[in-house]
Amino acid sequence: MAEPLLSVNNLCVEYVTPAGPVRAVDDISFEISPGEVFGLAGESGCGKSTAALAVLRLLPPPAVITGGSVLFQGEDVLAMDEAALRRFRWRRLSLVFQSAMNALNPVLTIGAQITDVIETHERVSRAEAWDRAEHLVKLVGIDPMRLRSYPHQLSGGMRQRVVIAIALALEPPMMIMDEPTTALDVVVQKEIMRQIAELKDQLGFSILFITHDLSLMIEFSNRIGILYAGKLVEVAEARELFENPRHPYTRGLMSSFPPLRGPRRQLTGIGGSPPDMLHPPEGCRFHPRCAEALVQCRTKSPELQPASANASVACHLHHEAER
Amino acid sequence: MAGSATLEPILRVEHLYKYFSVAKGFKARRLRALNDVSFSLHPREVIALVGESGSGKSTVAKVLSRLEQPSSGRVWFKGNDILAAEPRRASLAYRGKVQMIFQDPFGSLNPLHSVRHHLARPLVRHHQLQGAAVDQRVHELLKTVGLNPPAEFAAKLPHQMSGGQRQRVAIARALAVEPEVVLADEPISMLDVSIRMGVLNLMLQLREERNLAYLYITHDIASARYVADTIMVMYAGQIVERAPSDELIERPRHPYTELLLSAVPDPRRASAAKVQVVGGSPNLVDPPSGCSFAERCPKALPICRQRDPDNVEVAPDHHVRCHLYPG
Amino acid sequence: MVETADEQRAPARRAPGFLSQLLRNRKASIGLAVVALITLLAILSPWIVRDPGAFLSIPLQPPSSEFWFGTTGQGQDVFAQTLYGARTSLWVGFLVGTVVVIIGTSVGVAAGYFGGAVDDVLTTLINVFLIMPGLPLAVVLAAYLPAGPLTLAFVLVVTGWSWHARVIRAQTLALRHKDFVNAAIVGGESHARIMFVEILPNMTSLIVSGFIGATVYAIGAQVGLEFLGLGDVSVVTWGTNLYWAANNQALLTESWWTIVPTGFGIAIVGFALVMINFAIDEVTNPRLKAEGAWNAKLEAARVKPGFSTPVLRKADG
Repeated sequence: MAEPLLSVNNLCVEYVTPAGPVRAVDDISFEISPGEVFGLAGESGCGKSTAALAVLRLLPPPAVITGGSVLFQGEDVLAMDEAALRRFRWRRLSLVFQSAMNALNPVLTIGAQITDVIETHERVSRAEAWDRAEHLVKLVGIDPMRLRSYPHQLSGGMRQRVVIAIALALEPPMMIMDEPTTALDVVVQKEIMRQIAELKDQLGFSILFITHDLSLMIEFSNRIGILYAGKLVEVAEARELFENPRHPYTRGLMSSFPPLRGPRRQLTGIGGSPPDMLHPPEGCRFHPRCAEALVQCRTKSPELQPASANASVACHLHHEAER
Repeated sequence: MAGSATLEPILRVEHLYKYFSVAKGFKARRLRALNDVSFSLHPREVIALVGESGSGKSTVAKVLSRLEQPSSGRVWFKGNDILAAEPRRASLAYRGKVQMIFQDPFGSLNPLHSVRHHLARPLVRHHQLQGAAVDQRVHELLKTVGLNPPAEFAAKLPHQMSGGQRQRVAIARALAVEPEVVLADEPISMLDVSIRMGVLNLMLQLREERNLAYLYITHDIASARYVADTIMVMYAGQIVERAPSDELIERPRHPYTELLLSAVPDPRRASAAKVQVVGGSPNLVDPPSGCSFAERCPKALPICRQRDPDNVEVAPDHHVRCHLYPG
Repeated sequence: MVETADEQRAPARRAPGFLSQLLRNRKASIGLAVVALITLLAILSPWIVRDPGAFLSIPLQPPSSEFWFGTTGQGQDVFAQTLYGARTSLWVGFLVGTVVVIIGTSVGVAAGYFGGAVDDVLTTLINVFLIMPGLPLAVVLAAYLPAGPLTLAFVLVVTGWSWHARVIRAQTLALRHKDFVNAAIVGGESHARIMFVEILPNMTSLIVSGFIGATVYAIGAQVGLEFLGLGDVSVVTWGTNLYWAANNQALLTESWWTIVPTGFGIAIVGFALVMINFAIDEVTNPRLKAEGAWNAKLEAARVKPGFSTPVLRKADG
């Protein structure tokens, strides 16, 4: 097995609030290999965006990383100083933001924004940077003539492609994509995802893919991690997760997507509400909403343990079964 | 499960057009948001209006709820022409029959007012209730939408509740006037995934209990299938196809419907969709004549750029507006 | 599916309202205390100081045990004048603040809520008053109207209301398109009710802040106009104190005590009011408070805040 590109171990991230600390990410560990697409799924407040931004050390105040290590190509990102981080970001790991379309500078042409990135990180002439920009936008399916356009002159889908081009500018071995298509129409979303898949096959980068849309994630990812209330409750290969979801939360999520075809039956989703992260439940964080909770679920927090060759789950039900 | 199509429609929409004036440069241009929209809603029927952003689906809701005036067209509620009344002062009676649920569960509740305040207002305004009767009714409504214990929820402020709970309060508010029609504009798209089914099930349950008719507006055709008897697909301000839910999904006729269905992520599909995905969005400002979808349509004919297609019934209750299916 | 109130959630108190949060804020309490103190002194001045207009002693005497702030160029008690001056300056200031807020808020909300032709007319009105050069207009008006604090109040309201109206209009526009306003319309509420019960309460902090801003502006502009001699120079106010001090060659004779106390009074009231405005910013922007807690935590761990997310390992981590 190849050396993992990214190795996150026991990562803990807190938000310091006047009411007390909120443990947004609590002791999560996962690995991403070269060329792999790893999906991080969960609902609002589960900590997926927090975890992704923590890997890049880009979380704004009041966030604090309180534990663990993030090894990228062997180096601990959490130990890097500002200068090292500046060399690390974008060159080795880049980011496609959640509302990236709105993150483009409205007063600069997209050509200027792409060349800006290239020139900041590498010593190249303006002409060379422009050439590379042309090459990049062609890669993402935009006519190089549009380099002279401003963001507002482009459609939402095209703006998102520009953002992806910027993320690819320095050809990093890995990209983080935080809800890259959430604000787009389903048809444009399909196109963008197809484009990304093509680029990945062509250039060979890995992706940490974050979304709440489980169907999209299963179609696109190799492996998936399910986050709930800051904890990883299940990590499995995409197909296996779809065919055999183990954790009650994962199963609940699966039954939250009404099927387009097939027999009609009533779906229930998951009852209750997401937990208050200021005072999360004792023991397993999901137990108040879990129909199959055991006695120990209320007091003991389950560890993530392998359940098969391609899946791990953090659930007492399955730990019982394995015994 | 199907609505009673033989009864008189409770809401009938005829040839709605809506233009917005936009300034592009120095010339005033017109954006055509609704292009000849007509349909009927029967008692206890759930019709889904499916379309992407810019399709005009929210504009339909705004016109039906009298938040916007159409440029032309008629809307009949139980045989009465409701657009004849002045828009802002639209009769209280109409507002007591046709209510709306909005997309943003936080934005649709006033952050400073308690749940009780939100629910009491329509009770006072439409039913002239007072004092203890108001509180009793508020508690009943909260129980109906599953917010227990009602006394505790009545005192809460919006930020003290989750998105799903706020949306239930919004539903309770709509129910307070005892409406016959509920316009639901993307009621679940801003909710957490695991919460959505609960809200949809509640809406269906209320339909049974209270004989409500729904116009369910969404961009998610899968949830439309779950909740609706009939699906109408909207593109560039026009209803391009209308059919019973399963019929539309199994046997779509309009190329846009086919495109939409192929783009929905479906992990059950073993291989990637075969349909050629063509992006782009329609030009709604001073649009050219002919079918709005022609520029993206893989099956476009020359006539498509000349004339708007007519509405044709290709199968029982299945209507399409497409030159591939001439009348 | 029954939705139960989540027992795991900590008992959620009703979030304290804007005003009670404000009173708890340190900057606000200091500001309010200072303003209250000076207002109190001003109110009580007839009983605690000598007659400010009386010619009591040798002119231009520096501060002494008899005259704490010395005497003016006409032998009057500077201390008495300083305290007395606060009376008029403050009441004119608060009056202008109040009237500006009433007019500005009404016009702003109406313009933002109704939109269309109403908005066009009101915005034109606001803009006309906004671009009129304030000081020249104030000078002209004050020169033609009978001199006195009320005239000044009128002048300051005329030149000052439009800015607040613009701010309120902008916020109303933002709130107007929120779904809860649409829901109220669909619920059949009247315009008046929507404007005053749904929209206005969501702008409380803006209105209070506008009041304070207008008051600070009024006090300062009033002093300025009176210094130029456009007030009623026979009335004791902070502005006329400075007018007379200048007239009596205070700078040439190096009689700093005739200027400094009044100047200090103006400055400290202005400062206190601005403190309250800062407190309003903090209270309405919870992120500012959160960053305070974050800064404190980093300091305790001896980690310098930089651009990147800091790493604070626990002792056993």
